[in-house]
Amino acid sequence: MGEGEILLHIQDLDITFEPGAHAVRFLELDIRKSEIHGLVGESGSGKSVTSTAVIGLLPSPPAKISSGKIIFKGRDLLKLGKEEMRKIRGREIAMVFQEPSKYFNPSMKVGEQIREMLSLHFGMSRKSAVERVLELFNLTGLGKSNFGGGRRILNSYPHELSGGMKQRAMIAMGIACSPSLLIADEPTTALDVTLQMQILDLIHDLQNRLKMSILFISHDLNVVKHIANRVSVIYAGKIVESAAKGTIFKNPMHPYTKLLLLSIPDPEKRGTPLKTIPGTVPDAESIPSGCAFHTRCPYVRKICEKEIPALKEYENGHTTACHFAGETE
Amino acid sequence: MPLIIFIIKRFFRLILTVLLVSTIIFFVIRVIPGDPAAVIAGIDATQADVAAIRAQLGTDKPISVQYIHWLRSVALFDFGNSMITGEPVTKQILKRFPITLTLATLGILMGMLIAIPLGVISAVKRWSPVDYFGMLLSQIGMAVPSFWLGIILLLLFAVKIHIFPLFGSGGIKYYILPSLSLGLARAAVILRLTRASMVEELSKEYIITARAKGLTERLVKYKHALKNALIPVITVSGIQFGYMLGGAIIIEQVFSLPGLGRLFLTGIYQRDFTLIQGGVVFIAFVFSLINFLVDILYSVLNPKIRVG
Amino acid sequence: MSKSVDSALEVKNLTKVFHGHSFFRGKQETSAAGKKETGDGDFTAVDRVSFTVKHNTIFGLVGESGCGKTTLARSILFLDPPTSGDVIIDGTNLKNLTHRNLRLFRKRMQIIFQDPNSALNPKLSIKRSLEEGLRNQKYSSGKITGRIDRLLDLVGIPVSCKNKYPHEFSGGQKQRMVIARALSLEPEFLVLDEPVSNLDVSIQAQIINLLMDLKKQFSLTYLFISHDLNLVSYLSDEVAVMYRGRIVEQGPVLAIMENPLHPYTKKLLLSIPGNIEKIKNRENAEIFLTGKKPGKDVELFSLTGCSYYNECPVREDFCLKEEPSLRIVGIGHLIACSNDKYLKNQLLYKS
Repeated sequence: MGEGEILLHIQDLDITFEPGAHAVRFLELDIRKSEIHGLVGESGSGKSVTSTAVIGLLPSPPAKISSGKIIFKGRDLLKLGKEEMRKIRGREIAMVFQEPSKYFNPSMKVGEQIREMLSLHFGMSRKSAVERVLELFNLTGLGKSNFGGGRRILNSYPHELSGGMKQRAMIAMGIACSPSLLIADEPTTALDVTLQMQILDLIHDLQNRLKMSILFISHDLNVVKHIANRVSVIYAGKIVESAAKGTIFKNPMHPYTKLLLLSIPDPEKRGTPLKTIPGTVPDAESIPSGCAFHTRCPYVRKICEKEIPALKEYENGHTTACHFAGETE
Repeated sequence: MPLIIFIIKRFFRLILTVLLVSTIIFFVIRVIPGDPAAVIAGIDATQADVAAIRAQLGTDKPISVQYIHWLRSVALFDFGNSMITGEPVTKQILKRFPITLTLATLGILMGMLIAIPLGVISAVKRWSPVDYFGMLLSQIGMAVPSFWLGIILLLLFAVKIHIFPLFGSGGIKYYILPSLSLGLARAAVILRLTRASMVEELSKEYIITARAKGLTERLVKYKHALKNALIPVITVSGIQFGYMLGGAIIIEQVFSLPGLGRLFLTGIYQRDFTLIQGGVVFIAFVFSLINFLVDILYSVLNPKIRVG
Repeated sequence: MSKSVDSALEVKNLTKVFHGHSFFRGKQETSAAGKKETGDGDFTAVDRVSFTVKHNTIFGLVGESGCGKTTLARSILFLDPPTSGDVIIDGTNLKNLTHRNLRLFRKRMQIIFQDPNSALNPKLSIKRSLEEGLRNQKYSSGKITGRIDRLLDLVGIPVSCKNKYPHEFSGGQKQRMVIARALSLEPEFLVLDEPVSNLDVSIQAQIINLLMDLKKQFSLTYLFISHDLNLVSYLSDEVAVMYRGRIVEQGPVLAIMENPLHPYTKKLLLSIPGNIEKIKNRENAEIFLTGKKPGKDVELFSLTGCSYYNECPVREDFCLKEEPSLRIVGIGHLIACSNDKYLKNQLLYKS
């Protein structure tokens, strides 16, 4: 299936939240080495729950992982002990969050917040850790003089930095220990459009240099189209389609992906109404039977209401979960 | 804003507060009915006697002159002599202040020592036996008046078992029971605040970041969350401390400690206007000073506050 | 009172200043992109903005957070009266209205915000929410029920849901309710302030279609405010780009899309993911996205000329001399840029 060695393999992952919310349903996802994998979904689709499960930070209770495997470099993360998992966090799998102003400790200097993880994971001395932090600032463009230089950022509190600078610092923190997998959860959603572009370019550039894999979570198809190599679409806790970027945007197979692409306003289609998906995104407490999309699908047939379609491969590396994939044109 | 400018700004605010309080107390005393001179002179005094006392007090001069005179005495920390005993007010206050200071310091320390660790543990181990114990303790602490607690403590540890003296002042042992009864009431408040504050911090997003970085739970809780959680606790404790410095009147009464509270209480009974006047300004000054120190501490803990 | 006027809304030299040292400090926009200090801590959120919206058209206002677009919207509706300048709706200058008349006039102009949660009273059922407005209009109780049913039908909410409370609905449905309530007063003019930014992609399209339908059905006029240039260009007839409280470029949507002139407009357009891939002369374009002309930046508080100076890739020393005002470069196409040489090149290149 496709090319490239698999770094992270999620199999049959099933997560419920007390009482009775089915957030992630038998999810399957492969992330290959050195790829930017875009995970697209609407609010409540389970994309953040999935990434939180990967990094082992789901609060339990209320969350419960009832089945599945998360294989990372040959080990099932779900079987690891707390301490083993802690050593992987930040070191092997790191995370970048949506709102840097909330996700930094407000009363601790930015430099210290990055330094402490270097000392912890690598046992680095304070001095060499600080050197490494400055190096990271240079990598993320924070060393430039128009930001006052890396030393100034080192000793700044988060609120003293602008939104764009904070997100750069957050990315510096994410790549601090050169992880093999970086999870970026809506890293540009809170930013202005012009800043968003700069941060996307930065992430792209860093991936090129450091060759890590990135799981890029977003609700914005345009953003994912810009940055990802592969794209998976998640709906109601299940991957409905996954393919290389070129394939999925040119030749989407699942009706949800198709309609989602058509519902984006495009100035070139002025004057014609947008294609819409009727109804609303189902919440995790009442997921429709069979194919979860059947209540909104224009191509719905009898079987869709009863049977959950499996994620099947149709062309090389292009998988989709629809009973009529390839038939609905 | 750099810390030093912040400190200077807050210091001016302190001066302004004291000035404002002095002005208010000056006018209030002159507005309330009754001529202090007549009160001092007594019912049988002649007009001449009253006039003489007035001259001695300076209340015969125009109000503007009196006001300037008053401000000067505030600035020099010299509040004149007591109308009753004739002793300098400043001297009386300073003589009593160490007692109240000791009482309040020990009180707040005991309160914080009991409340903060218990509050933190309660928050970290929510709904555990420790948490229930803490909540029970804070309920009791809030419900029980401190004078009653004081009496009980006296009965237990001074009458039944002679560990501590029954009353009076002297060495540290005279302060243990009164500061404990004072401190326990504060502990109740501080404990609840610490717990709530710690719970809130632990639910914030930066805690997720700290965990995602692979920090140990100890670092997450005690390096990241605790410092932020203590910010409001420090502020409230500081203000509580300020209140106690104004004199814990009832506790001083129960334990017969000759502190500031009792001095002012006597002053009020005896209509000793100069003493009351000086006392109010002194309390205002101490209170503002504590606030000032708390503000500085707060801004060191929470760099964000310096912006505004 | 008014004869038929061509324009539904005319804004002339509207300025809104927040006073920094005032006790009753207005809500300020503090983003770095929007700061404009004018001494004494006064803050000019909107600076001499003028534009005209024709009847039954959509005027799109684009800008990033803190550029003053929301302040402008509030000022236009006199929710926060402007510091100076005129707002003329259908020939009536709002400045000249008494409080009472202004209140009556407001029925004709409604505003819809980004967050429907703060716009709906959580304690009122949908029916009650709608009733309130209708009662104020002196509808008889018999007519009110019919009217509510019709409004819900219009915005696509099942009439059977009318006794439900806001929390029982999804974000998209709540926004539909807010639209229904705005429509209940039979306005002619709607200000839409990021009405779909909080919604999921699949829901956004529904709401946009609904707004377009309603516009057609009731001949409405919209002032559509958004940070999303793609969306604004999809639905607007005319577009204005705002930067630091000023309009830097304005014109018919096709002119802005196909021939953007101001360096900031170019940057905004190129910042939309996917757009730069579409452009043939990429290197040339990238200057506007990331490029910055070498030279010394000017501290914001002492910046006298063009407010885009510090970020501009085509700046010249004379840009600092005076603030450029809007001037005509094409049919209805206005731009605030002093660099004639740059503009000439741009226009030549196009023709």
